[in-house]
Amino acid sequence: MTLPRTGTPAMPEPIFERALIMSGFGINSEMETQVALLRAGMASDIVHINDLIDHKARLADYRLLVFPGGFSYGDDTGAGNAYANRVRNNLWRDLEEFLAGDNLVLGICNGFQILANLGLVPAFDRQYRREIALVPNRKGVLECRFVTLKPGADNLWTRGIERLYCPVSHGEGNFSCSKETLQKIRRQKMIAFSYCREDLSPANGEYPYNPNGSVEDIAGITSADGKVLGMMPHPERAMDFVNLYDWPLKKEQMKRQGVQVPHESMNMQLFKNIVKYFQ
Amino acid sequence: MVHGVGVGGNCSGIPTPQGFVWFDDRYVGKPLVFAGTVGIIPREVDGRKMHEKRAQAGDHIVMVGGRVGKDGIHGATFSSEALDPKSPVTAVQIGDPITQKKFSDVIVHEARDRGLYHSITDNGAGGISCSVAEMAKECNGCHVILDAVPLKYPGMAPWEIWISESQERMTLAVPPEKLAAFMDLMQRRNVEATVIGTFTGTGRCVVEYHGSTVMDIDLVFLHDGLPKKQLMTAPAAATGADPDVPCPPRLEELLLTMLRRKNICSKEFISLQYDHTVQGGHVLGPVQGKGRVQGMATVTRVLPGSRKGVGLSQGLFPAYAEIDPYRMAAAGIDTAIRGLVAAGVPPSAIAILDNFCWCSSDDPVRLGQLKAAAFGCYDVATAFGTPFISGKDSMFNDFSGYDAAGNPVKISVPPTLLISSIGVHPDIHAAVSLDAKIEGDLVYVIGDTNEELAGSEYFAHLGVTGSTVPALDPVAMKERYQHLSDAISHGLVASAFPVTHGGLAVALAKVAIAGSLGMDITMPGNLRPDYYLFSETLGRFVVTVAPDNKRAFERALGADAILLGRVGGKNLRITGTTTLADLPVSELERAYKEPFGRY
Repeated sequence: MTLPRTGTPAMPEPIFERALIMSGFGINSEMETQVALLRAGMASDIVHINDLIDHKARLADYRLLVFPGGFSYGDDTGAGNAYANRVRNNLWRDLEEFLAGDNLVLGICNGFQILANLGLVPAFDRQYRREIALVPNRKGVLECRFVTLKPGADNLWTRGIERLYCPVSHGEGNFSCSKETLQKIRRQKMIAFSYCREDLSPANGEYPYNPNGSVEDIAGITSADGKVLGMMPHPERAMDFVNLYDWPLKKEQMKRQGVQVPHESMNMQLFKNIVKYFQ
Repeated sequence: MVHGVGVGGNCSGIPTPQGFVWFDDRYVGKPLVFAGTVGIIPREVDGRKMHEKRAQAGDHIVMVGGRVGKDGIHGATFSSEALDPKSPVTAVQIGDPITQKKFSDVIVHEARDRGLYHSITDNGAGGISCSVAEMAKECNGCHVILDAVPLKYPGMAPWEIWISESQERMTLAVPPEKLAAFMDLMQRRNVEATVIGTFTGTGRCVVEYHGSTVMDIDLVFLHDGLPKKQLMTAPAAATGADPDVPCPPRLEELLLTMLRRKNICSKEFISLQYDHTVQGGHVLGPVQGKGRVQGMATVTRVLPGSRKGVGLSQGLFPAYAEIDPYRMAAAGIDTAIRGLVAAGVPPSAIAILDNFCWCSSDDPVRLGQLKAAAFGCYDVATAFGTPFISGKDSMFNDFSGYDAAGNPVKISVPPTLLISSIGVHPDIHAAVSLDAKIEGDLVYVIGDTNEELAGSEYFAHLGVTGSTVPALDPVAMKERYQHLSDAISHGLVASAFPVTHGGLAVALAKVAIAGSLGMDITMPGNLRPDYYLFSETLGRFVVTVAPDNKRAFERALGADAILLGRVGGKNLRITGTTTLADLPVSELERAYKEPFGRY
C-alpha cells in the first residue's frame, strides 16, 4: 500500500515585489527563509550586510526586509545587539526611509532580537527606541522544541491563521518590558502571537508551553503601525507536514481514516499573508 | 561540555540532531567526547568536479580565519597521550565559532562557486605544518614564510607558529590571477586572509623565519619517512562468570530500576540545548512521540524540497570490551545499522565510520583487544556489505595521578569503539518514528532472543559481568533488515525501535512511553523471564503494526516476526506463565525521566 498524499505543490509565479534577506556575521536561517517566501510567492535576495553598507545593493529596491534567525556576532554582547548596532551605525537613514514607505519588515528569532534592539518594535508613534527586551530564558539555557502559537490580533500577518506549530530555538527569548509598555502593546492590539497549549488555551506562563517565561506568553509583536513583525519562533523551519514534531502520529491517524496527508504545514500561512498584502 | 557542543553547533547554524551520553566510572580520568559533522557538496559547478582539489606550483598559500596563538600547541598529541600532572594546559584550543561561520559562509556561498582557489584544507591537528604539507603533496613542494602568519600576540617561537592548532582557520591554494579577487572578497566579508607562502614543485618543504631557513625537508621523507612500528599483541584472558541470582517472581521494581539507569533513562535536557531544527530539515528528531523518548536514529532533510533525507545513528558497547572485543565491534556495527533500518533507511544505502578510543596501547593485551575489534569491524562490515567511509583513533586514554592519600593511581577508559552510521532515506514521508501510535495495533518483536547477558545493563545492575556477549550472524541480519525495510517502504509499519541496551522490556517500555499508550504483552519461549526481557541479543526490533496489515507484514518478515501482543490501555502488562509486570505507563515514564528530570 502506498501512502495517499498530495504531490509537491506547484510553486506559484512570484509577485513583482521582492524581499531582501539580511545575512552575515553569524545569521544562519537565510536559506530556509528564502525558500519559505518563494513557496508563498515572493522572490528574494540574500544580501550580506556589508554589501548594503558598500551600496552594492539598495534597500529601496525591495518591499520586504527580513532579519532571519541565527547567532549574529555569537550573541556575545547580548543577542542581536552588535548586529543592531551595525545597522544603526551604517544603514539608519536607508532604514528610516524604508520604514516610511509602504513596506514590511519581519524579524525571526535573532532577527526579532535585532528589531528589539533597534526599536523597530514596538515603535509607538514611529519613535524607534528600545522599549522591550528579550532576556535569557527562565530556564537559563537555549532550548530547541516545538511550540503552539495562536494569533493575538487580526492583522495582515495573522489573517486566516488558527494556530502555528513550529520550533523555538533560543537562549534569550524571554519577552520583557515595563508595565506601561505592556499596557500600550495590549491596548493597541500589537501582540501578534502568544504561546499556548495544544488546545489553544493560554499557556499562562507554564513551561514548556511557554518555553522561556515571556510575560503574557508573548511570542511575537508588531510595531504600532503594524508594518513590522518580530517573533521568536521559527515558522520557516517547519514549512512541510513532515517537519512537524507530531507528524508521524498524525500521518498514521489520517491513513487509518482515509484522509489525505497534507504536504505543506499550517506555518506557511504567515508567508502567504505577506504575499497577499503586496497583492 | 554540553555548553561547548551547544555553542559550537548552534552558532555554526548546523543542525545537531544526534547525541547520547554513556556512563562508566572508568571514564572519570579521561572523559571521551565524540563530535562529528556531515556536509554536502554539489557534484559539479561549471563543469568542475567539486570533490577534486589540487594545489599547483605557483599558487599562493593563503591562511584565512582566526589568528595563531599558543592555544592548541600539541593538541592532537595531547589527546592521544595519557593525562598526567605534566600535561600542558594550553593544549586545548580556544574556540570561536563565529569566526568560522564568517569564513565558511563566504567560502561555501561565494569563493567556491567562483572557482577562486585550487585546493583547501582545514587547520586541525598540527596546524599549518600539516595542512600546508598535505596540500604540498598535490604539487610537490611548498615555501612558507612564518613571519607572515598573523598572530594573536607577539612572542611566539617559529616552531610554535608552525604547529599551533588555534582553531577556525583554513589553508587555501589561490592561483596568482585570482588572488586580488579572493582577497577583496574576504575583506568585504570581514574575514582575515593572509598570504603566508607559495606552493612549489621543488619536492621540498621549506620554512623561513626572520630571513633564515628554519626547516628544509624532502617532502617524501616528511610524509613517508617514519619507519613502520612493530607492536606485539597478546590474547586477553576471558573474564567474567555468570551470576547466581534467581529470577524475581514479579519484575515491576526491576523494570523501573532499569529505566532509571543512567545509560537508559532520558537525557532529553541535553538534546534540547542543541539546535536540531535550523535549516528547516527536521523530520525525526532526537526525541519522538507524545511521551518524548530519545530515539536511536534521526532523519534530517538536507535540501529543501527534496524527498530524500539523511539518517544518522550510532552504536557503542564499551561494557562488552573486556569480555569479547570482537563481539563488541559486531554489536556496534549492527546497532548503528539497525537504528537506521528502523527509521526506514534501506540497508544498502548505509555507510559507517569507526572511532577507536583505546587505553594503554603499548600493552600487548590491550593491542590484542584492538586487533580483535578491528577484525570484528572487518568481518561484520564486509558481511553486511556496508562501507567504512571514515574513522579516527586515540590510543592512550589513560590518567596517571594521585588519590586523596597521595598514592599513585592510573585510571584507563574501557576499550571504546563508537560506530556512527549515515544513510540516505529515499522518502522522508515514509520515515518511521519509535512511538506506539494507535490502540489495537499489534506488537511484534523481530528476531529471536537468546541468553546473551554478559556486559548487559541488567548484569551491570546485578553487579556481575557474565560470560556470553551477544553474537551476531550478519548474513542472516542483512536479509532480515531488507525484509523490514521493504515492509516499511510499503507503509506496513506504524512504529519501529531497535532493541539495544536494557533489552526487550526496556524497548517495549520506551515504545509505550513514547506513545503514551499501554501494551498487553505475552512472553513466548522458555527462557528465564528476566533473561528474556533484559538480554541484549542483537538484530531485534520492537514494531507495531495496524491490524489490517497483519498478513502482509507477517508475509514480509516470515518467521522473524514474533507477535507479542497489542497496544492499548494505560498499563504495560507482561505475562509469562504468570503475570510478570503490570505497570501504568505514567509510572514508567516517571522512572525514565526522573534521574535527570531537574536539569
